Amino acid sequence: MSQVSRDEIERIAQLACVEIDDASLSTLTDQIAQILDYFAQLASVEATHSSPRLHRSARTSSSFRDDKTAEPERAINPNTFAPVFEQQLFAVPRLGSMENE
Amino acid sequence: MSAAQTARRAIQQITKVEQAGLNAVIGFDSEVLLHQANVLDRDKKSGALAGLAVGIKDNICTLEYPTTCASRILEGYISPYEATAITRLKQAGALIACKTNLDEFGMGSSTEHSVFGRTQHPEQASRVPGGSSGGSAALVAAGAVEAALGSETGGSVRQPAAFCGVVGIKPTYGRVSRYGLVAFGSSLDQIGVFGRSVQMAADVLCTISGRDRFDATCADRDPLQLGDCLDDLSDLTIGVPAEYLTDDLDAGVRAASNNAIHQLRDAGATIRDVSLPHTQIAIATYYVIAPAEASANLARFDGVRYGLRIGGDNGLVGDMYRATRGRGFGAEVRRRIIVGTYVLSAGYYDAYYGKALAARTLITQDFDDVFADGVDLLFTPTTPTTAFDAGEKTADPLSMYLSDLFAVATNLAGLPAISVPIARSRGLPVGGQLIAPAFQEDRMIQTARVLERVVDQGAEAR
Repeated sequence: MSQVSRDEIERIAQLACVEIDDASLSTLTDQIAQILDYFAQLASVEATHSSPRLHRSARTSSSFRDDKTAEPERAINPNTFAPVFEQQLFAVPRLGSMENE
Repeated sequence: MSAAQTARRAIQQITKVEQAGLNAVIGFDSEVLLHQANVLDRDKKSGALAGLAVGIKDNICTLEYPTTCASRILEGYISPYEATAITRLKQAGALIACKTNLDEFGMGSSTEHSVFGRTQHPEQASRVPGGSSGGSAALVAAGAVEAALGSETGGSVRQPAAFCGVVGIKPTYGRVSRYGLVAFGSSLDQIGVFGRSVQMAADVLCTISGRDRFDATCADRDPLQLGDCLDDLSDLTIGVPAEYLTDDLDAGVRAASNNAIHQLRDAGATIRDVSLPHTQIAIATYYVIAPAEASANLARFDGVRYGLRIGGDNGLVGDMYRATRGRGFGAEVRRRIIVGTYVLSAGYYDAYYGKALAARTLITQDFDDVFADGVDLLFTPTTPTTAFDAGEKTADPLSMYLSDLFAVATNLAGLPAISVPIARSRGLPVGGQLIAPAFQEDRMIQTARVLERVVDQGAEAR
């Protein structure tokens, strides 16, 4: 079984900003250890084989819009919900910490 | 039949199957459906799909219904925009019938990981319909709608199609716009189609396909158009990869696949044994890359802009992120986010993600080599088994992942594939899949039409 510890899973969960309760942590650690064990078969793959150009999206021409200035397309007009929206900017109260600026 | 008549029939059928406990539908309002139909009839709108009621997997944004991804973290979320695929369906006269159940955020192979409860198999309630698009597959199989949209990241259209005995199409990556499809694995995700027949599924695919300026990964191509039906397959070479007909394959699936291969041969195709030597590392490759991408894509669900928010009253935004995501996501989603974060983290990136990218290149090359060697299409069983029991694999995530073995290589390579019901085994549907080179859906679908015609879908495979 892969040597991944509870502490390691807790650290990763912190990194991912996902709270894991103590009751679930042991089971989750065992499951992830098993999964990582399964991934071990990739160790024999030569990393030099990686070639982004082979990904389908890299080999397909995408449609680009014309490079022209235009009004941004919005699903909802900001004027319908923002108190003040001017020159494509939302006006907000000055923060107290910026009073003297 | 007017659109209102079609809508009323769909309402009746959806209500009937849901009252019987199917649990395939998580967003539905008969008044919303009838209103769409009445507008269509009033305006005398016509189109390729006029009056067709279509179920929509609930990770595709719609204006008519909330988009929840079957997750607590998006419960009740109303999208301010609709997916391009939805816009095109409506332009063709289709009716957005309902939102269908799924494994949360598309992560699962059984439609058991939904905050709304599991979807039943349409024929045997104790079994799963497959996933993650199980709601759409079950609803089409139950006869409540003629067609439905699903999505694939790793087999999530083809596998439930095979389990439920309906047709499921996964298009080439870039064939259909991903605008409005909630992202799971952005280099893999594609909207797919379910239908009770190849023709029905193909008609819907043609409608939703084509270039889209809102999706930079959508290919700069016209919408798919299909040629004339084939009378026979005499100009076709179909490869059968040895790695998909292993000794430990379920006997019924093997028998059904062998029968289908005989039928394809009798229809004129040249059958050739081929090899895709890196098939065995496809699952490991997929389950490194997909969770890695998911960990990035699901970072946006943090309680700030939309969806569930827990905590934050103490002014600590980090606490709010962790509590919202910890309690808003289900167990499988949390697991995949942790796996994805792990394989991308410092010290592990090269050993896992770097290797998986290299493996993906090898898997893609396998397909390219076979197609370059004169093979037009590949045929394989869609799944290694028929529909399994509910609860059978939920305690063992790895066993659930392994059930995707015949599907994920196609997703990694970005190729199109279609699953067609080919027989039954111990009373349950068996699916066979055709895989084509990129953007050759036309030939793939024409061949699938012939396959559908020559097999006996209801026969018990022996």
